[in-house]
Amino acid sequence: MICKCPKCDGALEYNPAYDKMECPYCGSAFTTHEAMAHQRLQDNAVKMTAPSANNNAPVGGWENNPYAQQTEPEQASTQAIDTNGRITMECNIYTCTACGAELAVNGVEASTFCAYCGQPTIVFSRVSHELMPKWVLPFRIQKDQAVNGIREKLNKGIFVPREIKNFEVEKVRGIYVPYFLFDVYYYDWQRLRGTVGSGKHKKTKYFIREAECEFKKLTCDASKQLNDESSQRLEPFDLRVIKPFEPGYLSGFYSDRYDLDDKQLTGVAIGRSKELFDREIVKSVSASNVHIVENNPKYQVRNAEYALLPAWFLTFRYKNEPYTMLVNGQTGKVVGAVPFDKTKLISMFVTLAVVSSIIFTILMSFLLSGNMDGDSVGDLITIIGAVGFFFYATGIGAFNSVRKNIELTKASRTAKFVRERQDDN
Amino acid sequence: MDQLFLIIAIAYGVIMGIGTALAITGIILKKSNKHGDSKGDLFDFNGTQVHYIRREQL
Repeated sequence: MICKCPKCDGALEYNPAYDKMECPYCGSAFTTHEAMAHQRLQDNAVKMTAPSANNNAPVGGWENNPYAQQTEPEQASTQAIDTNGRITMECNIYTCTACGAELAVNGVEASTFCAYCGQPTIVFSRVSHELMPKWVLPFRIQKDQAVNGIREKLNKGIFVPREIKNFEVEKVRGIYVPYFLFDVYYYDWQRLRGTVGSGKHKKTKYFIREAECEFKKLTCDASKQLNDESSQRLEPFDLRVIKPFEPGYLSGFYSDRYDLDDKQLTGVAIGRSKELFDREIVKSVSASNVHIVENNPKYQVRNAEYALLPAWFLTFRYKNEPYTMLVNGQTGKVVGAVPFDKTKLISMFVTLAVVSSIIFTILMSFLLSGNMDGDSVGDLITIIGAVGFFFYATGIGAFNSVRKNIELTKASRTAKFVRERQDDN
Repeated sequence: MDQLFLIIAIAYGVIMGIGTALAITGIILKKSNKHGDSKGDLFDFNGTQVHYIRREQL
């Protein structure tokens, strides 16, 4: 998938800022179309060579040698038709020996660590024929912008440990995440129950909604490595500007391999259609506490197309646990929570607890020492108890929310994936 | 009676103090660690719209 510079034969890289393929050696720039046209001419003229025997060496061994990079085996862009009549393309698959993640490394990109688990254990695995994506959404956010986005978020976090704030920029990697884009027709007849009015005028009302929706390019991520919750938080992608796939867009980036095909994702696509459809219907009802009490959905998956969508991955390790933060490669949306410095948090909690306890004790003493009768004291204690309960619920809810977000950031899915593979063996 | 009020005041003061500290630290932690908590609304893009055939209130 490498594209060579027509002028100096250096490896071109896709520059999201200018939507062009640029040569880091001579500075020339070409449109993706021009670069690919040149590459096709080159491919016709020169027969591509097979991978050499030393390809099992870690990629990092040759990453600093541009000449070595240009002679490595990933220079294949050969297309073929598989037994199902689908167009495939030749890719070089790299495997992480620590977590089992498989990435198609494109262009001259080389890495000394796995984007999922952060371990320096990436090795070239094999050349593989992969289903050719129909669509690609090119990166719009450059690496610097992604890094700045992450830094801005991390610097705002007063409990974020310093070693995480000072993350290594080299560990931010651009990855095209595999998705299937589904066209789904969804129809439903629903009876909904809701509450209208307030106070004494509160009434339960029933509503009927009959509606249909043509979901176009509904995104379902096709990588087991990426948690569905995380990939959905990366959304939305503006797919109005998606482009027909050209291998040139991958130059300089990784692309994750899909390991869930369109058939396996059909249920997910229908589930997402239902979720989105129901949410819109509920929003259309002018009442509170709206629930669907009866429905009769009908749906049809009309089309599924393979696409690559862009994301920046920052992988870091903290206390021996891998964490991954994501940045939407089109919009710059940062996804992922980071672990917090427990010492700082406990210090703040204890200080606040001591100060507030003193203030509340003084306040309570003042109130109780006044001329209040027994009933008033009882009422006061009940009110303060309710406020206290609210505080506890708020605090515990906030901590739970952060804990859940941090769990998502932890690459536990990766570990599960490895275990599944081990079980298979 | 005064002693009883004092004990109640201290007990409630401590309980409220811990609750307040828990709420404040929890909210600060959540706000400072809130990155992309929400899922994207796919209706924002791609021109997808729900077409209503029937809307009624019973």
